[in-house]
Amino acid sequence: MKRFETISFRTRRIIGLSITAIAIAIVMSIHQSIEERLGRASYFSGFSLFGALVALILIGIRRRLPMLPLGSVSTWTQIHLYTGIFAAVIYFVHVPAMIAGGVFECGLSIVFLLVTASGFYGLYASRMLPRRLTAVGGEFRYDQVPWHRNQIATAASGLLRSDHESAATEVLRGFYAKYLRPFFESSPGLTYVAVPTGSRRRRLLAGLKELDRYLEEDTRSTSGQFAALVRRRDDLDYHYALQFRLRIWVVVHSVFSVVLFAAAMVHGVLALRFTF
Amino acid sequence: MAREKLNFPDPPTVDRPGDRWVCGARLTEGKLRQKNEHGVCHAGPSRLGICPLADACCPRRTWASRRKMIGLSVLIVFIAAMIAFSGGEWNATVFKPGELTTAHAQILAGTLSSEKCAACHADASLSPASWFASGGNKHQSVSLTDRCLDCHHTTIDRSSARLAHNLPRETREKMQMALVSNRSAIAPRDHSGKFSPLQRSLLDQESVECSTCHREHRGSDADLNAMTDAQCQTCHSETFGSFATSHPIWTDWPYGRGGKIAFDHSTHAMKHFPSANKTGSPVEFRCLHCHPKNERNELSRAVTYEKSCQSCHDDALKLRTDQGIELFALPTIPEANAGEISNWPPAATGFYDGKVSPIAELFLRSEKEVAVAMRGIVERDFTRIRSESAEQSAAAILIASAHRNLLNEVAEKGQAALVDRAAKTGLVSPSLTNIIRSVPPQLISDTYRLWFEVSNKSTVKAAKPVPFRLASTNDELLVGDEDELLGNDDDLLSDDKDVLLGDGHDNESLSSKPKRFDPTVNLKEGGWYRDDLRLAIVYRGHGHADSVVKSTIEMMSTLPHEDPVRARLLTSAAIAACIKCHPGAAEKMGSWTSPPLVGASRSFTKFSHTPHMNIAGLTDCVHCHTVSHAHANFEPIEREACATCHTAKAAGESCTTCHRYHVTE
Amino acid sequence: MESAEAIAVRRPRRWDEPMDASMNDADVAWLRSRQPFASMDSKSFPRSIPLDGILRNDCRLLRCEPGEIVVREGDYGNSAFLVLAGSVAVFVDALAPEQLGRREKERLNWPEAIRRFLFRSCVPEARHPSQVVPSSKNGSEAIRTLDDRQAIFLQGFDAVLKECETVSLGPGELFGEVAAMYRSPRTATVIAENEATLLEIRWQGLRILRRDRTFADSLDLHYREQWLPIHLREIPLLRYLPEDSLDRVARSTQLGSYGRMEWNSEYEKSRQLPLSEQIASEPIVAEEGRMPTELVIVRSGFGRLSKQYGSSHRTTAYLGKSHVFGLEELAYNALRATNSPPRTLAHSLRAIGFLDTLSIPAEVFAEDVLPHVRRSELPKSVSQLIENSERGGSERRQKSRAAKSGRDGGKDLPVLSGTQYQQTELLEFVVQNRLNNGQQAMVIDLHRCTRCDECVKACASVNDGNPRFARQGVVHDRLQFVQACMHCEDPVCMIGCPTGSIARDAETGVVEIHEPICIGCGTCANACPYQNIQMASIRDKSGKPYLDATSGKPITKATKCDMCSSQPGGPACAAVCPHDALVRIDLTESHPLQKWLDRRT
Repeated sequence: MKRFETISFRTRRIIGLSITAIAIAIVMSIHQSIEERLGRASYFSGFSLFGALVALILIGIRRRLPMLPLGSVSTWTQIHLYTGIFAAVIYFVHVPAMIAGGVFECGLSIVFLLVTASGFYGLYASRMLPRRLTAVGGEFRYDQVPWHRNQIATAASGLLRSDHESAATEVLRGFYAKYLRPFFESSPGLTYVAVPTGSRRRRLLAGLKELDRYLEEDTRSTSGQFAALVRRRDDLDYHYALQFRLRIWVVVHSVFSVVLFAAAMVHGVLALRFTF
Repeated sequence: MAREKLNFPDPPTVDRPGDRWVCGARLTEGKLRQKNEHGVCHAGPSRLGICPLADACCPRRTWASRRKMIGLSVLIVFIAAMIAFSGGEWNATVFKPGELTTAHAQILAGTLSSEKCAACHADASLSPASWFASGGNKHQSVSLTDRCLDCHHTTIDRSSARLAHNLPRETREKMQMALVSNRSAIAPRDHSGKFSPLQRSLLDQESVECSTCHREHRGSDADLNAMTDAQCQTCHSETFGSFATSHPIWTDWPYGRGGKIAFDHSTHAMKHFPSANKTGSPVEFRCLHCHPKNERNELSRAVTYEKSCQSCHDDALKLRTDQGIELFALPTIPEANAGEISNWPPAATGFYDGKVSPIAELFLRSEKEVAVAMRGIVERDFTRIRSESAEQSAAAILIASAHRNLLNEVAEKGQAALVDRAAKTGLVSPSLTNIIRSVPPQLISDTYRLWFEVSNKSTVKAAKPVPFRLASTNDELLVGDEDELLGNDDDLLSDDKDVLLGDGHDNESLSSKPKRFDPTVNLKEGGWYRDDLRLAIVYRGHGHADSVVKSTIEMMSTLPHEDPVRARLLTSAAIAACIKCHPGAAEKMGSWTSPPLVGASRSFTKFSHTPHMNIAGLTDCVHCHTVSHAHANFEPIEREACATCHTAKAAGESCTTCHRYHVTE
Repeated sequence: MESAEAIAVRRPRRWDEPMDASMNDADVAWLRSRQPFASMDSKSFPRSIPLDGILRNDCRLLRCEPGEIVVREGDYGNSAFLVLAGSVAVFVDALAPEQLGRREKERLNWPEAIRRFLFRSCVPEARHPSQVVPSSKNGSEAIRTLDDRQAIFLQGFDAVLKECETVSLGPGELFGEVAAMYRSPRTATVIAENEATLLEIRWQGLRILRRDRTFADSLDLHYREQWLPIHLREIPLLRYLPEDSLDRVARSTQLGSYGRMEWNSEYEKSRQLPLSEQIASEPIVAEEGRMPTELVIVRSGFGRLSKQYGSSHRTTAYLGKSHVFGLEELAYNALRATNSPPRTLAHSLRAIGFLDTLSIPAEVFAEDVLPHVRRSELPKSVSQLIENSERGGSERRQKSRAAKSGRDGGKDLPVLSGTQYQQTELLEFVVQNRLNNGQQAMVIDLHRCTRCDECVKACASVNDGNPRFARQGVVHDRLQFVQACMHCEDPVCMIGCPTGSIARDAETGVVEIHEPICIGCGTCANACPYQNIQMASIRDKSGKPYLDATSGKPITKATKCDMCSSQPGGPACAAVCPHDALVRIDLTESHPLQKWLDRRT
C-alpha cells in the first residue's frame, strides 16, 4: 500500500491499466471456454459483474467512514476507477444486446450505461475542470458562494453611496440600476451554469467602458471598481458553475449506482429462478 | 482597477458541512446572527431547519442533505415501481429478459401477460414473496425441457429427447468404436489448439436440456439453432479444426446410400447413349432427364419408369413377366406309386419328373410330414429322386397326394383353405393375401374336377404318350427348334413358348382334341390360367409393376434368407427380371422407388442441391458427379471438392452446415 | 487612499507595557538587596536601560503555594525563574500527563470511533461537562486563582513528592533560563515545594542582564557544561566525534543569536513586504563571497540561504533546526592542494525571524570534525577532492575511516545543509509566509482538487461536527497551503500558556490542546501567526452555553487540528481525499514536498 502511495501517477496508471487488461482477458477467456463447453457462461460473467459492482459500491461505504483506517480514499478511487473499466467491458461480454428487451432489463441496462457514462464523464471532469478552476483566480468554497455573492453585491451597492452628487454620478447610478444591480443581486442563470461563457462579463465591461467618456476623475475610478467587481463576480460564477458540475455528476453517479445495485440483485434472482 | 486590489473580509471560518441546515443569515451577513448576548442563534437552525429567532431567517439545506434527499427519493420510487410491477398483471412484459423468437412469441400472443412466463417456466411467480420460498425442488419435477417437448414431441421423441444426439448410450458407443476401428481411413488432422482439458464438456450426455443449445429471449430474430463448432465438438473426444485440413475423409459419399433402383450410369452413358455421337443415339443422355429439378431447385432422385425406362425396356420386360409364376404344378410319379393315390391323373404318371412350385410348397408346408418329406427331396425336384430308395418314393407319393389334397381343399373351401394354411405356416402377410385374393377359386375347383374326378378311363388312351413328355423326350423333333433357338436372339422366354407351340401343332396333327388354351392369345393382359399340358396353375404377368408379381416378391422378401423357397423364387425369370432393377425389393419389403433423400430420414449428414444449383459452375451435374469408367457407378466425391468452396471465408465450414444434431436411428 | 494631513504621536518605546504593572519601587529596591542583583554593577548597563528598569518592567514577583506547577517538562516558555524565598522541586524523571492535569488522549477503538461518528451532536462546539473543567480529585481544585492569575496544581502533591526523585532549588537559584534564551522546550517539571516566592524574568530582560559579566559568565558556563555537548551530539554531522575532540569543539564553539525571538508578532506586517525589502531587512549571519571562518549550525529558528542575482538576492534554500552552513567551502579549503586558491562562501545566510546558531571555527573543524565525517556524507566536489588525494593515501584518513566503519551500521544520514527547490518562487513563497515552520502542513494540489470539500466534511465528522479548518489559505500557483494547524517546529502558540493546556506530544510532535485545563485566555490563538487556532464558546449537547459561574461570561476553548491523534485512522482530511490532492506534509524539509510534487508531473 505504501509503495502504491509513493509511485508516480504515470507508473500507477500503467500498472492499473495493465492489471485491468489482464483481469478482463482472463474473465473473457473463461467466459469463452464455458460458452464453448455449453455451460452457463452468463452465470460466470454475471457473477463477476456483480462482484465488480460490490467492489464499486465499497468506495461509497469507505467515503462515509472517514475515521476508520481502511486505506485512503484515493487508493479506493484508483480501485474504483479500474474496476469500473473492468465492469464496463464485462457488461458487453455479459449482455446479448447492448440494451436488452423487456421493460425491466431494458431499464437495467440503461441505468448501467448511465452510471458507466457518468463515471467516465466524472473521471474526465475531475481531471480537467480543476485546472480550469485554478486558472481562474480566487478560491471560493461552494457552500460560501452565496456569501461571496452577497459581499460583492453589498460592495457594489456601497460604491455609489458618495455624498456629493454630480451629473456623472447620475449616469453611473443609472447604469448601475439598469444593468449592474440585476447582475450583482441575482444568482447566475441555468444557461450560464450549464455553459459558463465570458459574454456576460464582456457585455457589462464594454458598457462601463462606453460610459467612461461621460464620467470625470472620481466617478471613473468608481466605474473602475465596478469593473473589478464585475470580473470578480464573473470569476465567482465561473467557479460556481464548474464546482456545481463537479458535484452534480457525483450525485447522478452515486444515486443511480444504488438503483443499479438493487436492480442488479433483482435481475440476478430472476435469472437464477427462471433458468430451468 | 484589478480585481486583486479589492479587499473583502475573510469568509467565515466556522461552518458545519455535516449538518442538514445552514443558517440563511450566515450566507448573507457572513456571520451568525446574534439575537442576544448569549447568541441563541449561535446554535444555528434546528434539525428541521427552523430558525430559532423571532425574526426568522430562512435556513437553507446544505449540499450534503440535499444530496441525501435526492438519493432517498429516487430509491423509494424504484422500490415502489418494483413492487407495483411484480404484483401487476403486466409483469411478463416488464420482467422478460428479452424478446422471444417470432415463432414462440406468436404462440403466446393470445395468452395473458401474467401467464406468459408460466407457459414455459414452471412455477413462474414474480411476486417477491415467492422468490425466497424454496421453489427449487418444484422445478425438478417439471423442467423447461419438458415444457418444450409438450409442443415438440412430434419431431423429438420424449424418451430420447435428453440423450445426446437423441441416441441411447450404446448406439453412441458403437459409433465411437466404429470410428476408432477405421481410424486408418481418417486423415491425419490438426488439433489446432482446440483439444485441451478446458474444452471438456460440462454436460451430462444422458440429460442435455434443450436450453443448453437453444437460448431463448435473445431477440425476435435470434437464431435458436446457432451453434459454434467448438460448442458442437465439446463432447467429442476427437475435435477438428478447419474442414479442408482436418475433417475425416469419407469413402464413397454420397453414393451407396441405399439407392433403390439399380441403374448403371456407366453403361448408359458410355454404351447406350454415348454423348459423343448424338446422331446415332435417339436421345441424348441428360442427367436432368431422369433427375429433374423441382420448383425449389431440389433435384428429384428418380422419375417414373414410364418416363425414363419404358421406351427401351418395356417389350423385354413384358416378355419376361409373361412367363409368370406357378401357383401349383402336379409332379409326375411312376404308375406303380400312382396307384396309391385314388384316380391320379394318368397324365401325371411316368418316371419321376416335375418340381414342386415354390408358392405351392409354402402352402404344403402346413402339413408336418409333407414338409419333412419335401425336405427329403433335393431342390424339391422329382427328377432327382432315386427310384430305388424306398423312403424317397414314399415321400414322393406323400407329396403328390398332398398336392391333390391342397387342390381338393381349395376346390371345396376356396380361399379359406389357402388362408388357413398360410396361417398355419405363419406367413400371413398383405402381399400373400394379395396373391390369394387374385386366385379365382372356380378355376381351382374346375381344375380339380377335370384332373381328378373325370373318369380316367376315357383319358387313359389319350393320355399316353403325353405330348408334354414327347416334347421333352423325343429329340429329333427338337432339332429344328435348336436352330430356331440359336437363330433367335437372346430372348430366352419366347423360344420354349415356340416349342410348346410347336408341339401344340403336333398335338393337333396327332389327335384331334379341343384346341388347347393359349395364354399369349387369350390372356394378353395377364392373369391366372390352367396349363393342362403341364398340369399347372400359372399366372401370366403383364410387364412393369404387375401387382401379383410384386406381391410375390414382397412376400418373398419377408422370407428368411436360408429358406430354399426364396432361392427358387429368385431363379424364376419374372422375379429375376424385377430384382435386376429393384435389388432392394428382394431384401426390404416394398422398397421399389427411390424416395428423395433430402429431408427424408434424420441422419447425421444432410445435403441439399438447392443452394448449390444457384452457383453457375455447379449447375452442370458432372462437375461433381463424374461417371466412372472402371465400375458401374460414379467416382466418389472427394473432401477437397467440397473444401474448395466450404471454407470459413466462403460457403462456411461450420459443423451445422452439413451435420444434424437431432438424429434418428 | 492615504490622507494628506499627519497625526503627531509619541514613538512607542521599550517598556511601554511592563510585564507586571503592579511592580513598584519598593519591590525593586528589595530585589536589588538580594543576590544576584546585589552584586551587579549598574554601570555595566546602558543609561537607556538601567538595571532597575529591567527589574521593574521585565520581571514580576510570583507567590507560589505548595504543589503549584511552575514549569512543565516539554513546555516552551520565554521566561526564567529566580527563587527568592522558599524552595521548588525539580523533578528528575517525567511526571504522568494526568498529574499535570492533561488528559492523555486515548486512541479510540473502532466501535467507539463509529459511535462518536454516528451520534454527532447537532450543536456546534458541544462539550460534555467533563471536558469543560478538570476533574478535581480529593477536593482540591486543579486550577485555582492566585492573586490575579490562574495557577494549576499538582494532584496529590505530597504523595508524588515522596515517590518521585526530585532536586530542591533554594533561594538565589535560577532555572528555566535555557528554554527562555534558546527557544527550546523545558527539560524538567518544577513545582513549588512550599510557600515560595519566585522572580519571573522574561527573556528580553534576561538578555540585558547578561551585560553583567559575572552573571553572564555563570549563565554561559552553566549552558556550556550542561547543554552544549548534548546539543552538539544531536547534530548528525558530529555523531562520530570521539569524546576528546567533542570537548575541544564544545569549548571553541561560539553561540550566536540573530533576529527577534517573537518574530510572529511582526510577521503579519513583514509578509506584506516585497521580497527584496524583506530579504534586506533580515539580519545577516554570513555574507556571500566572504572567506568561510566557521561552520554555522542552526540550533533553532530559521535561516535563508540566498545568492546575489542581479541587483537583488535570490533565495536558494532555507535552513532549519540542526542544518549546517558552509560545510562544503570549509571542507574544500581544508583539503585543497596548497597551491589551489581557497573557496569563498557561495551563499549568504540570513535570519528569518530569529536564528540561534552554534559556530565551530574553521581550524577546529578541520582538526576535529572533518576527519570524523563520512566521505559519502560530504558534498560531491569535496569527496572527489579526497579521491584525488587518496593516491598518496595519507594513513590518518585511513585510520579514521577504520574507526568510522562498523559504527551506525555504516549507513549514511543526509547532511542537512539547507533544502533545495527547483522552483525558487515556491521556495520564496514558503519562506515569505513562514510555512517552512510547519511539520504537518496541509497542502492541496489545486490541479487535482475537485473542491468537493470532503476533507472539511471528514474533519467535521471526526470532530463532533466541528471542522478544524475551512479549506482556506494562501495559494501559490497550483498549491494551496490551507489554514490548518501545521504543528510547527517552532510552536509559538505554546509560549506562555498559563496552564500548559497546549502541549506537544514528545514522540509524534503533534501539538494538542488539553481542553479541561484550557482557561480560554486566547494566548495561543493570538500567538499563532497563521490564525490556525480558533477560540470557540462552548455549549452542552442541548445547545445551552456554558457560562462562568462568577463573571457570567461564556466559557471559550481554543480549538485546532489535532491530527486526529485520537482517531484510529489518522488524519481524516488526508484519508478521505479521493484524488490525491490533499496531503499533510513536513515543510521544514523540502524533499517531502519535492517528492510529492514529482509524483504528479
